[in-house]
Amino acid sequence: MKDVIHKIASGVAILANAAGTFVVVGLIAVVSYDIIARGIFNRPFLGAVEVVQFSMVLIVFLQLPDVIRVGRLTRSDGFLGLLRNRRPVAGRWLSRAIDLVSATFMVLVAIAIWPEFLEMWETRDYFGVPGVFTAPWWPVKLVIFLSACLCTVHFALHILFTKGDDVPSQESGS
Amino acid sequence: MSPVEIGLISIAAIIFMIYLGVYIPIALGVVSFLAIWIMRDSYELSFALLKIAIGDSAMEYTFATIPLFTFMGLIVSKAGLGADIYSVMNQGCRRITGGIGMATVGANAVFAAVTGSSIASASVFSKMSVPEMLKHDYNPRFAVGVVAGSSVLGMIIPPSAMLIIYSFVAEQSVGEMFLAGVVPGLMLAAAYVLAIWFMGRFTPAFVGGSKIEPESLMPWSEIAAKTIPILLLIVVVLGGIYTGWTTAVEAGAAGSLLGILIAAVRGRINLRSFWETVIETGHITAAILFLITAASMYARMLGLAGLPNELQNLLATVNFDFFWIMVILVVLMLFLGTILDTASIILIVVPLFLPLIDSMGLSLVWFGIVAVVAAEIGLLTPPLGLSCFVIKATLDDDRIKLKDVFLGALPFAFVMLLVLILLIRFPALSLAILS
Repeated sequence: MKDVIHKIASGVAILANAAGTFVVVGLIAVVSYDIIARGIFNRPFLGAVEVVQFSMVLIVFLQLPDVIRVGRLTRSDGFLGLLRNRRPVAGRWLSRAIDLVSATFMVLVAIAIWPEFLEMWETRDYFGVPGVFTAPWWPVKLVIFLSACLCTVHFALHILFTKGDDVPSQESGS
Repeated sequence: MSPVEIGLISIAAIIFMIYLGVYIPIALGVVSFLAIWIMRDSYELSFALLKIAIGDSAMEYTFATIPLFTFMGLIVSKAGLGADIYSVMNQGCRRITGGIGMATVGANAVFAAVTGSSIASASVFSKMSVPEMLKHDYNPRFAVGVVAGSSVLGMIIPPSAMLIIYSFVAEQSVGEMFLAGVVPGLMLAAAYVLAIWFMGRFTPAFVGGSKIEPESLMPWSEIAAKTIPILLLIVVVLGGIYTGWTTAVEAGAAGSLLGILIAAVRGRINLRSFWETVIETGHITAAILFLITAASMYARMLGLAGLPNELQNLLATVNFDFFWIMVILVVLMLFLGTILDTASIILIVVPLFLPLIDSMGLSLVWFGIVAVVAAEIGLLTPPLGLSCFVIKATLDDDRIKLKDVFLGALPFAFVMLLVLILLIRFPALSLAILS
């Protein structure tokens, strides 16, 4: 049972990650198109700013579950690594406690964003400049909500499947 | 408990949790959520601020610079532009003691102008430059130290992820931050070259190295083929921002597109490695932006606690002048640099000091450069010197211990500190290019 959930959750995260990856390619294409259209043909792509904003949300929240799945969320694991070496059992429990706190936080995010989605779904509110380019808010909120749920699942899976030898790498671009 | 006390306890709790190994954005988010709850005695504001932080932070238009410049850096590494500029520099410096070291610094400075990350520089150059130096009997500590020290240039010479993060925290323009980083970055590179020259002159044993036999030299046509692509990229990206023809976001997209073209023309990329590069870009972007999202919640919590104002009052009553405030700031950043990564240091410390710096009439652009350089020193110092870890991991050579990397990097961390003092003393070094 655990393995089935693990497989499904991993599959969904990898799919979301691939979708997010297409958005990155799209982002490069849209902004490049805007520069060329504006600079050479003097016909700027009016919705560029809104499309960029929208794609940033998609990139972050589609990829976040996969970042958590592969254990690349930013952390400073000097002490944890030491503990794992010296006291493997204590290390495993600390690591589980950390993932439990993380899962709880993602639940809070999901709870915080859900009413926002419902409101946007009902009011059909939009962002952008009316008459030029607008996009509805609700898909943004929905993506964040679903992403937070999937992140919760992956943190929970980390708790169930702590191996103790998975040393996550730091990744914050520094 | 007063809000200020809650705020102080929160900062201590965050640092403690991060030390234990809690994911940094989670530590920031959870503690801020609880602190606001306790301060207001109600969870409604906590949820409201969480909703704003999560929903709005990622929507920031200028954050598109993060995936774009990350992608550009990764693709030009794949295209081998780092290796090219290194071989050209190496030929130029072949007759000097420590010449390969100087070439590494020079190549890093140029490569830094097309990548936004010290990690990218550290991994590219430890694979290339360290084996080359060992082959010519350089001291292993010196070899890894040079790579560690010069990798920091990636973060200061624009485009730089840290300057983007700072510009968000301090609400400054990304373009201006980038331009302000040019002179300090070049200064640091020059200081490194000078330091290597001094080491070669006065402590030759630390440098080591044997005479390099004059091998067949590259003809001018090859030198041109190896330098023109990278120079073209620099002109398009920084030139576009400098002349105001492109915004930072557009410069990133143009650079990415050009990077793809260069890699494709050289046949260094196929569909598979392209896909991997984009996935890597997405992972880095998601990790950085999630960190920023959590940090924006933390900044709001600090504001609610009134901590930045309290710090300002405190420093005013004890009559601390500019000099001591800077000493406190630098010492604090160096201390945090021993446990946190650069992005987290900037996100945690900068919001505390911003109102103070602003009210003293100092330039926030200048402060950004100071903050980034100060935080970057932490990349080179133990126990959490990220650049040093990357070099150790990339080298995968049992002869070189982590301790060697840290000891080798130490002289370069010291040079950085000297440059930092100059930057603090002479703000014009950062600001002159803007006017």
